[in-house]
Amino acid sequence: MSEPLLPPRIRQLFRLPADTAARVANDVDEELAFHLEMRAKELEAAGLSPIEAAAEARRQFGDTADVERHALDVFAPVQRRARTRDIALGWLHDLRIATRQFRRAPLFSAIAVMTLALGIGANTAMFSVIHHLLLAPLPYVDGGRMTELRMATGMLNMQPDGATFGAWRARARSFDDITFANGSQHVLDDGAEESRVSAAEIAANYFSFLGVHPAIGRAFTADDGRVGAAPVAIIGYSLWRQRYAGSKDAVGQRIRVDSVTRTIVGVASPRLGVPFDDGSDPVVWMPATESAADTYFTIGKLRNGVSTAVAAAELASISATVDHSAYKGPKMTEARVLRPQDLLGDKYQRALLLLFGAVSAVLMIACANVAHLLLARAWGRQREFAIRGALGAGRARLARLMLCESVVLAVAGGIVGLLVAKGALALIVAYRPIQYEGLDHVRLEPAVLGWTLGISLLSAILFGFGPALFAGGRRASDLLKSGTRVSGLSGGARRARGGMIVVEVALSVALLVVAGLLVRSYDALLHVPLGFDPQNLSALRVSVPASVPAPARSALLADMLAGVRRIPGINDATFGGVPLETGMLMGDIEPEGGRPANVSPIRLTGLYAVQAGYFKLVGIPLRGSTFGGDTTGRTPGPTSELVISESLARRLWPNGDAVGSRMRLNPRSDWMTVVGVAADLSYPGRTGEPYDFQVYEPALTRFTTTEIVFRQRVPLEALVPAIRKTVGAVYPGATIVGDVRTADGDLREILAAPRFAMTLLGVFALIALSLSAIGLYGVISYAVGQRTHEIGVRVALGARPRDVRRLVARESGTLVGIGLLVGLCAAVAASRATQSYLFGVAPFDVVTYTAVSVLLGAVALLACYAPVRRALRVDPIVALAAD
Amino acid sequence: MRSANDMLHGTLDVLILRALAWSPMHGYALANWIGERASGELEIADAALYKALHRLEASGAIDAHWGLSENNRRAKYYSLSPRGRKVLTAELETWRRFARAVAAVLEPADTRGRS
Repeated sequence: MSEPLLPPRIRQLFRLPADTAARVANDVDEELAFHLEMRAKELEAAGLSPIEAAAEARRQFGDTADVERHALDVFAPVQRRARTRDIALGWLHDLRIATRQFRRAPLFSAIAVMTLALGIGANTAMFSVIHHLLLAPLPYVDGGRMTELRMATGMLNMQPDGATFGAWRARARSFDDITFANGSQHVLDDGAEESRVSAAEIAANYFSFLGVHPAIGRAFTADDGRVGAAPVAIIGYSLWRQRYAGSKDAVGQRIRVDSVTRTIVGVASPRLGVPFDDGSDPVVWMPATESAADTYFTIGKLRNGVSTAVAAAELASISATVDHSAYKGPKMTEARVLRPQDLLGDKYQRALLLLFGAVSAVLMIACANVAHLLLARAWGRQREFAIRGALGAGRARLARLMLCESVVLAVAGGIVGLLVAKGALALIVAYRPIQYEGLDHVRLEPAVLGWTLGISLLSAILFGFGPALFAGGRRASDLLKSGTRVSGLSGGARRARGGMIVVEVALSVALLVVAGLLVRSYDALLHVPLGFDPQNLSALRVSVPASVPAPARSALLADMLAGVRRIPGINDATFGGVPLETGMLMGDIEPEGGRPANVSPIRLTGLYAVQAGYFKLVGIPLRGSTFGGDTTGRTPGPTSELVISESLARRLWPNGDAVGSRMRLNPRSDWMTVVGVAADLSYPGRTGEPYDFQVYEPALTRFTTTEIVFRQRVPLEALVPAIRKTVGAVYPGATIVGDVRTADGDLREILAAPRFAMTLLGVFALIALSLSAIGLYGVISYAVGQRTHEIGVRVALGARPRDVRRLVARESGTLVGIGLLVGLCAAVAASRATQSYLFGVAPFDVVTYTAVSVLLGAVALLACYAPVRRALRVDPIVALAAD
Repeated sequence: MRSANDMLHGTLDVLILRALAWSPMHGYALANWIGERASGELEIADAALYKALHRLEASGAIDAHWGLSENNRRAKYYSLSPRGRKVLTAELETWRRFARAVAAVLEPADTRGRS
């Protein structure tokens, strides 16, 4: 029994091709021929002539062609399976060889994996942020179709009033359903102690809109939201577990929220949250009335296939037919249908993409570096490739082997990269600006893992391509034939390495320039003259219940102001806020006698309601006088007087003095006298309407909330309890809205976002620079190593150290020079794109460009220092004897 | 419910497996083996036999290898694989149950007792 049909495993061992159709056909032919021959012999023995016997054997057999067709059919899937298995086993085999290679070179592997991990990790972290903020749908059934609806005009947009909401909900056909909800802070009283908790007020259809049922009990009905209905509440899942131990008896119990006793009718499902809110999970849910819709998020679920533009147009056409007479706000003729990413704003989105571009550049540099490493290694392994080639491995197979090594590296880099990304995300969350709460919910989600795997494999192709070509190239396999050692990389490979260095340097330069511009503009922000003195300046907002009639309210607020003034540690206090927080005045401001012909209408200005003593306390220089009226707040200032800012005064009265002139805030308002002109305020990083001009009007204490600003001489924390006590002593029902804020805190908050972007980009740029320096070092070292023989000859022939230095410097200088030039050009393009983030610095800031060039030159010199030293130490005798 | 054709296939398969359980053999020997044992009662076309062999080989129930025949010719030998052995055991059991059931219906115990 010779020539066995090879079982798959044996075939695999010798790397023989799997069975082909031709082979199956041959086998069947031979098998049947044997059968027919044997049968004919038997018939012959029985007395038939050879010809008759052959014919009879055929007749008895039946259709031989049919048997062959049938065999081809039944063996086809077997062959396919065998081929697939061969391929899989082949890759597995190569992957095993590749892994073994790296275990033998731990230092090389560690450097390559860490480099990749840095690039992949940074990229994964940024992608997680982008995925969470821009790509992922809201975490609800049909979350991808949920939009926030607003009415709008020009750059203003706000929640729809009750009438508009009702009309939208009843008539809009672009939406499956519309609901509203609002997360807010409320005081929960559990009998023993009061605590502020996040709560939500929701429409009756909120639960059905989200496609969920309460965990137990019932959802709200339309009746629950009616005025005068028995107060009810649904409690959050976590509160149910904590306070009621998850018992069904919780339904029907009482709960006190904001001094109102409510009956619990249900328990919400866990982690329900409010779409478009900050992501916190309300502890208590309360029914809301539709008439108060304008204080809520209006959320619509777009009908399948309807675009936001079409939906917005429909909403606008519906609003046009609504009777707005009950609505006191500005007239809104448009509507907005906003997806979560739209709410982030263009600037924020572009900042994310800019950062993503930065991490992608870092990843590319990392890939280039690993490619350098692999190429250098491939050069050192020529003998191995030659032997493998001699043993029968084709060029394609050698290339595949190298590609396998790249894949192993990339996957290892990806895995470590995930750890890097996890750490980076933790850092991002820890140092995020206070207003970017959304970042807290960024996780390494499954989609992100897919991304990481994808970019790892893409990297493998990027950095494995060159080495694979080299290994599969003719040079390596010719090596054994010629019996010599190939003395260096081919011209093509050397040019490729040079090209990679140029790209690395260029990307680093572009990143450094952008980071540098952000640093410069942050510095400019820090030095903005604010126009007031923020030192030890703080403000609080007090609220008196609407049940207190207006005249009594004024008296109460005046008492509170007097009380705050008496607190030890507070120098002075008055009505008004920290000037960094501006109110907004809408309308067409007009001086008496008409607007000068060449002045465009002023639509939006900052508006401050302040008391007579405000300017002195806050430290805003004032020309003319402040309002009349006393400083105690007992009698409000005259409503016919205004103070305006210097630039507004110049704009309205280009030729004369504003003080004493009259103006009106809109065509319907009364004429007011400008009694004083205050120095301009500026807001770090904010320009344009409403920040260019300021209007101050006397504070009116008839509203339910008023701001008190004060200057303290002791730390704020020491004062807050006394302030709370004072406010409570004047009127027990009065509350302080939010926190007591300091001007310094506000400033920090304003500066947090640019500082965050600057830091991130700066870190990425530094990583890019270090990786490029390492890459440059590797390439120059390698070049020097290649030319040891040549340098030896030169030194033997009398070359001086200066000549050797020049020799090395020429190579690196050319690469760095070209890289720098390309990088500066790229930086020009990149800084144009970043223009809107720059403040007080031109996109083509000479200082930044020069500094980056010098820095890069210095780093390049440093990277070349060691190779040059090595070149200088070349001993001609040793170098020449090496061959 | 198996079709008549499946039934035939199945029967032929069991016959082949049974034959190979006895000894590995080539197709020609197998045809003769079945022919002798069926004493001419079972007419099986050679083409059908080879189709069944190829089908069983593709399914892994039998292995094949080329060997030398009695008269020193290259011939394809078939042998039972472990999987084929399992199939045979299961099929034999089914076949016996089926035969018993058919026999019980066609020849009730009393008539059989008399014969």
